[in-house]
Amino acid sequence: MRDDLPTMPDEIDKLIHEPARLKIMSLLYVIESGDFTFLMRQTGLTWGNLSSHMTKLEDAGYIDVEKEFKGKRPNTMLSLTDTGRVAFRVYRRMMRSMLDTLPE
Amino acid sequence: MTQDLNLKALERRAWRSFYQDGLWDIALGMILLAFSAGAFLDRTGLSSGKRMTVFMLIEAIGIGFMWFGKRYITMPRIGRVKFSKERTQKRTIIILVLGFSVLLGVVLYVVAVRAVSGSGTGILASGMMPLLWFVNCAIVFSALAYLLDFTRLYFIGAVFAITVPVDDLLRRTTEVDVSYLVFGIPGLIVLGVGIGILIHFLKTYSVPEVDNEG
Repeated sequence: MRDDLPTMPDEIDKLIHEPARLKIMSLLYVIESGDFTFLMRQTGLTWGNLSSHMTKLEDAGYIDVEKEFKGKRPNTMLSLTDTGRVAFRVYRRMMRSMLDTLPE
Repeated sequence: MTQDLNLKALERRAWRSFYQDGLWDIALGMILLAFSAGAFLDRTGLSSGKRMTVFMLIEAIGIGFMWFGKRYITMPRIGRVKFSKERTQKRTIIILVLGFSVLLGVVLYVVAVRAVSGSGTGILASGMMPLLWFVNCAIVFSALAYLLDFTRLYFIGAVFAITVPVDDLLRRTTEVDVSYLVFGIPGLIVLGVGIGILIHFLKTYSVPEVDNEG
């Protein structure tokens, strides 16, 4: 899996590095998809906050928004795109390597 | 940071959040109460067919409440999620395990009813029934608790497992039929715990004003 990752960038991905977005990305990384309520509950973010971070992540192509129906009610499910997954893995690897090189 | 990047713990917390509603406890408590009602009605001389109907009806109420509760109480408060393929596979195993367990439970119940009414095969008298029940409960509940990552199920499983052996022991030693209490008291405890957890869940999670319609 790690071998598929692109070359390490020079800078950390600031879009993911922001704490609230890091929470969202981490959560979406470990599940297939979730709706707004689920993400709100798990991240502790307010709806407005979550919504604005989601827009940024969606604009970057990290998040996919899929509208589906649960009975007659529409429900929007959010998931990481392949680009988002790769970006998150690169971010993790970069953070690890940065922190591992720090002296004790 | 460490907390946020502990992905396994994050996934586990998300998964376990679906068992904070007490609905499993309520359903399982109702199943024990169904056994209790069956045993109580046995004392009234009601036919086994009618007893079975009441038994199945109470079980259906418990399981139905869990199904509707998940849909109309839990989901609107916790949200909808699709977990990983690994979790989905586990869910399929859970359905198979539960199906097998319910089938075996019904067979054991029918055997017990027939044995008590004198038309059975003697399996109750031989002491095999309590052993079969205990082993079935121990295996099924342990498997469910492990697969669902739901620790409280070990305790409920232990409560289920000891009911029939305790009932059998009391019958043999005291010759007093208190089956309805042997099933009823733990049933009420499990149901009470479930209701308490559900109330706590409802107090903790109100339905958020979220536009899930995007």
